[in-house]
Amino acid sequence: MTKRPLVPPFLNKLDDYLLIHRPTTWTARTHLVFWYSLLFAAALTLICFIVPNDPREYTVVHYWVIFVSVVLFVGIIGWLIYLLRFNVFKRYGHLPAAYGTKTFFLYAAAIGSMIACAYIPPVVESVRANMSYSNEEIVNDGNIINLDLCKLERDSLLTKWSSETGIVRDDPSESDATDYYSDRTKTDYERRQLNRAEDDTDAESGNSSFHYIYKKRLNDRLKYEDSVIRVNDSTYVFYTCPAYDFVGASYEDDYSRVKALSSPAIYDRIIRHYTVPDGAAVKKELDSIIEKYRTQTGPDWNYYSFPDDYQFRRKDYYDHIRNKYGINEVSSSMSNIKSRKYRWKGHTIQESLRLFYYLVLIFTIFVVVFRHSTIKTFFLSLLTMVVLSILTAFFFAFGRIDSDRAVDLVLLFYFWLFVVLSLTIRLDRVRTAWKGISLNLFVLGVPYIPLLCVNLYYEYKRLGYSSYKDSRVFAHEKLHYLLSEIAGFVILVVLLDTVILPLYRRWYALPEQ
Amino acid sequence: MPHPVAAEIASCFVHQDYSLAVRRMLDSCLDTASEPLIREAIAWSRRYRSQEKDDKLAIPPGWLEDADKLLQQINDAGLPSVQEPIPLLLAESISKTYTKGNFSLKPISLQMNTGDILGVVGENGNGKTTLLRCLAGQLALDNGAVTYQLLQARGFYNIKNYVAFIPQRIPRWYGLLKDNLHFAASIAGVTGDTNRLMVDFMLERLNLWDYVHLNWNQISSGYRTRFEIARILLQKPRLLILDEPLANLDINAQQTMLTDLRFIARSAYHPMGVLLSSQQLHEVEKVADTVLFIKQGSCLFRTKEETQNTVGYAFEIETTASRELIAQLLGGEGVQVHYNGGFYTVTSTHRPVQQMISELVNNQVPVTYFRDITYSSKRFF
Repeated sequence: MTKRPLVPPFLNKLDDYLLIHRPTTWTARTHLVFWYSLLFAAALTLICFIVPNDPREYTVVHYWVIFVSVVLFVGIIGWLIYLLRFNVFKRYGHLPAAYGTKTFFLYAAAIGSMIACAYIPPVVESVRANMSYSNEEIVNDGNIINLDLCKLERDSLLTKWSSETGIVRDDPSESDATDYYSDRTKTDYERRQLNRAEDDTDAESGNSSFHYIYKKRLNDRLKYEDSVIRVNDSTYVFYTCPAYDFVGASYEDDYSRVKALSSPAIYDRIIRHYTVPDGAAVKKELDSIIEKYRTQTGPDWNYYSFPDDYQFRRKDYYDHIRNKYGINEVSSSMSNIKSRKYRWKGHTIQESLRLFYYLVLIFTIFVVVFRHSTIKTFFLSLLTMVVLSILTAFFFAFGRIDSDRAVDLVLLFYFWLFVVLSLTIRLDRVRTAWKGISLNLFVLGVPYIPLLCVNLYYEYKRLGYSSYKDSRVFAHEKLHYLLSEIAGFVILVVLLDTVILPLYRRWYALPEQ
Repeated sequence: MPHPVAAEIASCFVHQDYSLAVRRMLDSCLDTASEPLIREAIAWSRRYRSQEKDDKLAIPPGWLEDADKLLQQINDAGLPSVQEPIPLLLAESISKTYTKGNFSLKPISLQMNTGDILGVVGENGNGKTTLLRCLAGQLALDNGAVTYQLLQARGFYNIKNYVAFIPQRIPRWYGLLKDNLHFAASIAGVTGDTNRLMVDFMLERLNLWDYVHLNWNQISSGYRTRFEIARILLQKPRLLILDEPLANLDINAQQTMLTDLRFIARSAYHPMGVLLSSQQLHEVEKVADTVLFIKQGSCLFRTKEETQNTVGYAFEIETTASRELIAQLLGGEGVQVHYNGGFYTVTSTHRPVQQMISELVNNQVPVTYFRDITYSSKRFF
């Protein structure tokens, strides 16, 4: 007999097996959630592959993510309602060893399988973009466009390199200035400009024909500048090539075997030893590539329509050529393709994983609380959170307190208050709602306490150091935050069976007044 | 030499009390704790149940012979002898006052052992449910203490496991009824094939097979009570507390349930104590070892103790004869006759009930209903 729609016989058998052998696992319904999530994921993947999606156009995947998230939220609510049906804990059944940890991970797995479905539309979009355009293809096309444009518009190009003189001086004594050269989130040009700006900020001279450079920066300047002439040990002339990268190519060539040609490289190939090209053939080649990236909707004029250096190096000829050949649209298309292809590279994947982790963690803790508390107490706990937030906001507003440290301290105070109240459940003879609320809020807060403590630590450190750039103090800040997140999770898991479950067990079974 | 229980079952067959015989046979097989025998008894019982729907006295061919074989196997397996009562619960002067409202339960003490059935009777709103909930650990006591004498580990969670409480309004079940029964057994540690066997046994024992694939909305309130009892019994509590379990049952089902409770309480397999409240005081008195009569929160009467101290005699009759004739025949010193519009209640300080009823019969007074309530709590209603 099929108990549920779309469930295969083997899963029904598994369901029956779990019912009479592993009631704790059965009540979590993780196996069914997995199955239905798999079906949903398969259907969603199929739809995402079928629905027309031009990688050259601006992505609308966020609408898909919102839609899927709403469906998943409804799914989670449905699952929660299902969870109301059978509960080993509330039936005072025999609880197996490590019951708290086991059920926590079962709920987390069920929620994780549901939330993972929200990642399908962007993943499918990336797969489709990768299937349509290889990494090298885009870089090659960009290079060809840049070279062809230089060949065709040789007479319109600015060919004179700009220059500036740099005078080397000693490093500052105490501050470790931010090293933009090692910041890979910025483009080469941005890195140069930012370091240059910092050096200039400290320059004592108002003379604009030269600027000071700290010694420690000299090597970087030598490495990244287009061309340099050393006048003497302390004087250098830096030359900057005009911009010939009409189609921007920056980070994407990290993932390509072919590298994007820089403006000096284009200069070397085309302008330095210019030979008159076969205009018709070059034009034909250029048009075919431009056509390849032309969309029905035209350029979408977002930030990525422009090459990264555009805002810094804009020149009249540059703008003129881009407009003449419709390069804005090509840039926009390439940018859209690249944003799809490289969505999961670098820090984006970390952010996505962190978001996934926190969504799963938060929902799982709520489910744990929901399963071990009365429905009334559960919703009263949510109400208490809201009321406490409002009261705290009033307190801050009327007390004119504007400090992250104060927020951290107040949250820590609340947490420890709930801990103390929860521990007194051991002494209680009667079940009260407010003790249940305290216990719920204690459990909800556990994984964030190490994070709060680390945040508070660094808030105080920032008070003691005038410069945030002090690497000795803040060098491991990110690591400490990461460790505190891990520690919060570990503490929660350790407390589940040692403290939290015994407290719930006692509180729930206490007689009422 | 057959075991007394086997002899009792054989006697049922002789007198064609097949339904009772089937129930006793199932109980006896369970007492042997032999899984093959229990399985065989279930199959044997199902053959009868399928025939019973058409005719209660009709039996399937070869069924009686199989019954003899089963009885022989029960004898061979060796039924355990009835255990000595073991103390289960001791309540000492427990009292309870609600913070809201002015009702209070006055101090009550009681003791329950395995095999005991304790009935609690009284009018509505006089504290029956409060007493039961206090004993079940659901309500905090103001004074006194309850000791659960067989409880292995301390803690209220274990108390709730030790004591099963079935409220008058049974909370709704979700999902298939059979899944609920399997779940109840498995969370009590009964897993695997034993789980399947015990659920099948309970369904057969309480005659619930025809309803097992339905859901809660599809069964009557009487069957809900039976399913709830089946579920609780699968969890094997030491003490079963039922609040008004007879309220939703028809008269035959009430009788069946009360006798079943008696057998279940005294089962050798898992003896337990049963505490129930009811308005059906005659039915309760028939089956209970002790009946507490509670009025305005106080225990006014308890049958076991007060039987020895009962003063006078009392009975109820229903007759078409006039009140004057009744008074004339039974009247005299120390005799009082009360009429409540339905029947007469006659109390006497010195004339025994048998003597008075003989007087009525000898004078050809038509008696349509008679009940001796000398030792019944009914005298206090």
